Amino acid sequence: MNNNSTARKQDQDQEEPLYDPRGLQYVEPSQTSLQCSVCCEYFTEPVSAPCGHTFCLGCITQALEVSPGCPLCRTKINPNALYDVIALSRICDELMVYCPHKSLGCDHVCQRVQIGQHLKDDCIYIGTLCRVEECRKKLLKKDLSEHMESCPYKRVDCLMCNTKVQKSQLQEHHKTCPAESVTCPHCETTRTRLRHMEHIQECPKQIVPCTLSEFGCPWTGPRFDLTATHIPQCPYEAIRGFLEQNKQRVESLEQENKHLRTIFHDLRPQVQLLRDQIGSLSESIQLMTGPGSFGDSMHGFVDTNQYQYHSQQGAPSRAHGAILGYDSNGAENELHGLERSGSGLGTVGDTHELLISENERIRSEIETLTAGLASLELKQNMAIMTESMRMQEEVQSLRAVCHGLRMQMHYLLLERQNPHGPSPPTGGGGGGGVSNSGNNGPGIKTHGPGTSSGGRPLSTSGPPRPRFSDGLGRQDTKL
Amino acid sequence: MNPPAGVDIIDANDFKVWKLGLAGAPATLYEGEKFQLEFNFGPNYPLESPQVLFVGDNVPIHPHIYSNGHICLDVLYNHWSPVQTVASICLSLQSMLSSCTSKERPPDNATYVKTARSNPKHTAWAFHDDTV
Ligand SMILES: [Zn+2]
Ligand SMILES: [Zn+2]
Ligand SMILES: [Zn+2]
Ligand SMILES: [Zn+2]
Ligand SMILES: [Zn+2]
Ligand SMILES: [Zn+2]
Ligand SMILES: [Zn+2]
Repeated sequence: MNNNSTARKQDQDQEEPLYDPRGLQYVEPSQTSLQCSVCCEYFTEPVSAPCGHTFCLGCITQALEVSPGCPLCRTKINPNALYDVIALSRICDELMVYCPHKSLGCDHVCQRVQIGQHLKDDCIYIGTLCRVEECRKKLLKKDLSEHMESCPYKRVDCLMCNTKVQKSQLQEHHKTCPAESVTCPHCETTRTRLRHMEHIQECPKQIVPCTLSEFGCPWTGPRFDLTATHIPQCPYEAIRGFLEQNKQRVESLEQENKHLRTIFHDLRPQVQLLRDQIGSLSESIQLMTGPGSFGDSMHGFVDTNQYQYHSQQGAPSRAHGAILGYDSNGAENELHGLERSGSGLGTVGDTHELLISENERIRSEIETLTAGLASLELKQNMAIMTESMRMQEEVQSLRAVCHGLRMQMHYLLLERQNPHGPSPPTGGGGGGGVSNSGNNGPGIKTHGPGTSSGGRPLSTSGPPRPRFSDGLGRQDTKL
Repeated sequence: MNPPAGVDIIDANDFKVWKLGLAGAPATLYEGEKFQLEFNFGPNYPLESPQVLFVGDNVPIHPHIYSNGHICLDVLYNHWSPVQTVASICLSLQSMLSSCTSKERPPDNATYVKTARSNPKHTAWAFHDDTV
């Protein structure tokens, strides 16, 4: 079963430097008497069972796990009863094998027992990794020394500055190596790069601008000319003090501006929040007040409050009624005003607090006013009712007086038509009754003797008198 | 592997499935016939037996071979031993064919073929007749 061995060999190629003893290629492959009948390879650690049959230790152990009998004769085998066959083991170990890396080019042949040593120490066809930490390239041991020469990650000495540099970056390093000699492009003197850095700051031939170029001096020229000739005659030099002072001021202003800008940015969300809150407060107030004359009177009332509030804040007469929400733009302006007033106003949080308490006060006052109005209305209703009752009664009494007068007139008319009746005493009595009323009495009394009417309805005229006087008496008590 | 006489390898490129040709031995009922065997090796081979069956158009007519190719042979199932090889199985099959006296299907062929799973190792085999 050679196929078996090739399959295992493929596995082994991947796990270097270990090797699979069963994957070994033998120089003489077909001495079947030395081969295990389970794996069909030369014995590896051969053991015999009591039945006399011999297998590799690994093979028989696995086979017994599947089925407890000897694979050849089916006799039951106790795994503890297996014993080493030392002579056979030695014979097998001395069989000649090829190096497992034969396919890569190693033609080493040795006894099987020595192959591990070969792989560990001698075989140059074994896989290994480049020693340089950053590289770790996979390669064969035989190629290692060659690779180490050219490994791009290998560190080499810079011959000029004596520091270690990766080989691939040496070219790059030379452009910046502090020990490299550099020629100054201005004065054409030569020194190391390290020194050049210092030199370039003071090279007399370097073309430099005037020290006051930032203020507008257009002069440029070699450095030695600057101090020697230009500065003494530079027009900007004369006002240097002023320029520098100015520059300082501009700088401090810029800084302050930046600072204020950050504060503004911080405050912006707070303002937005307050604006929203005022908006919702306005809405709720509008709901409470409602439209109409009552609301208008409240408006005036709130205006005074508003005024008080502003004088507290040192910003009087702004945005009347703004808090009531009749004009939401007004509220916004109000807020901006507060914001602009800045430090004088205290924090925005305080303002907000104040607004809320103000609103609370207005609300309670509106409530009191509403209650007062209701009670006033009630009182007025009562008064009207009483008054109308009185009027009614007066009308009634007047009606009664009218009736009485009519009766009297009627009596007088009758008396005039019938002058001989015995009516005068009755008429006198009637007149006396009328004079009691105080108004029409005298007129009737004068008529009474002059115009005498018939005495026939005497019996009927009798009854009205007590009724009449009765009505007057009632009226007296009422008034 | 050097195939025994009468056996030729048709396809044995991996270690999972092999196809072998089996020729009927001379001076037997199967002389001149050609059969095809399929071996399926599981991961535990050789500790466990491979799946072996006849495939192709010509399945030998034999009292221990069903028309679906399943073979009633104890060493393929419960009498398997890890020392068995493809060669030893081929030899066993050839001797089974050679000792046949009448070419006929097993008596329960029709019912078995209807109910059997494709893998003969899933069949519960009863090896009553060892003589043929
Ligand atoms: Zn073995
Ligand atoms: Zn045995
Ligand atoms: Zn080697
Ligand atoms: Zn490297
Ligand atoms: Zn350097
Ligand atoms: Zn220079
Ligand atoms: Zn200048």
